Amino acid sequence: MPTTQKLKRKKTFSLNLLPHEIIIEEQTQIRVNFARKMSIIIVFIFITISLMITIFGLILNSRVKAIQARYSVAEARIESFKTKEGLVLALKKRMEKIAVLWNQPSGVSDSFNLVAALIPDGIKTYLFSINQGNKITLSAEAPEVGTLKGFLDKLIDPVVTRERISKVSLEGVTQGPDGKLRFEVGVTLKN
Amino acid sequence: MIEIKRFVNQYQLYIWPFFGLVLVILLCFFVMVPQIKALLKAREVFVDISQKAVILEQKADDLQLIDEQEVKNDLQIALSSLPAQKELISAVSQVQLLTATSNLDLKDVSFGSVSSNQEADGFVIKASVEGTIESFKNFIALLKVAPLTMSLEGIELSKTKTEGVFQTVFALKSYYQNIPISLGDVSIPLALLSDSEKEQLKKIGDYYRNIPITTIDNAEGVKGKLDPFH
Repeated sequence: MPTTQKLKRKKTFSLNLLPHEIIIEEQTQIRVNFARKMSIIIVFIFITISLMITIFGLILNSRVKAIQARYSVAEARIESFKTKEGLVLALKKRMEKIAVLWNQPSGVSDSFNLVAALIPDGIKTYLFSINQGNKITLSAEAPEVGTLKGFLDKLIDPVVTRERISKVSLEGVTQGPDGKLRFEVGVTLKN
Repeated sequence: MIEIKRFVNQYQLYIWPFFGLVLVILLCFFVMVPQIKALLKAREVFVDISQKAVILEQKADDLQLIDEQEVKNDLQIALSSLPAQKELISAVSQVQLLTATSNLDLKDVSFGSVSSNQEADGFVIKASVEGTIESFKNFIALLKVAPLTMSLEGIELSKTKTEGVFQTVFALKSYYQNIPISLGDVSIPLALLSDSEKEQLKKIGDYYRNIPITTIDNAEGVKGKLDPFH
């Protein structure tokens, strides 16, 4: 049965007896209609997109207005706490400054402790001066050369001084009638 | 009229696409592009204000929770450590108390020049004292835990006639800093004290209890000028 149908189909054919002009006109009309539909669809798509953008813009603008209102409310609240804010700010800034000042290395006291700890028992100090420029001047008396040498050795030993001393100068050594040595030592500390 | 009809018939395939294209171009130039620009700008404004609003709301909430009296007390403690102006009375009081606590004999107090640096303003106070080396060391150690912020700028130590007793001139710098006048931009987040700063404030309070220096606020009797040199 299917074979018979196939044979029948193969035997059929179509014949267009319309004039050639009409066929061309029909084809042109089909193309015109297609172009018209496509144009309308594209324009419609663009109008829709434009509308969507406009609507989205309106929604966003209303949200901006809402957030601006929230901002204004918060600003007004802060304005009412102005005194408190001033106090908090003053406290914070002061504490920051105090922290900076407290954490500053105390050069003078460290230098004093460093050099004072190195002075041997036998040495008598007459003058001990430190200025902010990290220059220490020490005027003292040693019972004998060995004690003075021991003191100077300590001052120039980088391990003992933790490499904090950059220069040691011995000035004006004099020996008294009792055999004691009076001297002046200048110590320059590293910054 | 016939001419127009003929023209329309001749180019009917292109008329609709042409008008469609013109309309699309007009839509793009006069509606879509300006709207998209406005949209982007509005979005930028929205993001910016949103962020600021969140910060402001947080700041307002934080401020609401803060106890004003507590902050005033804390500020008072901080001011005892770093006064708002040159307070000679506090500096002298501290030097007196520290020398007395360290068993030093205070001979003379004089005021030096006012100096400013990056950290804070300050003035130099020179204290001439007598005592043993140990007393000086104690003084220096106490200076580090004294309520009023001071730094040691110089030492001049010389021997006296008495054995073991030295005369020393300590050059001390006492700091002060003006209270800020402006609060700055409202959108700046509220800077609360960090844990270390709270700890430091507590320490200052403790130091103040241990060495109760006289300040302009707790001084008894007639209160004169803070700085007689001005």
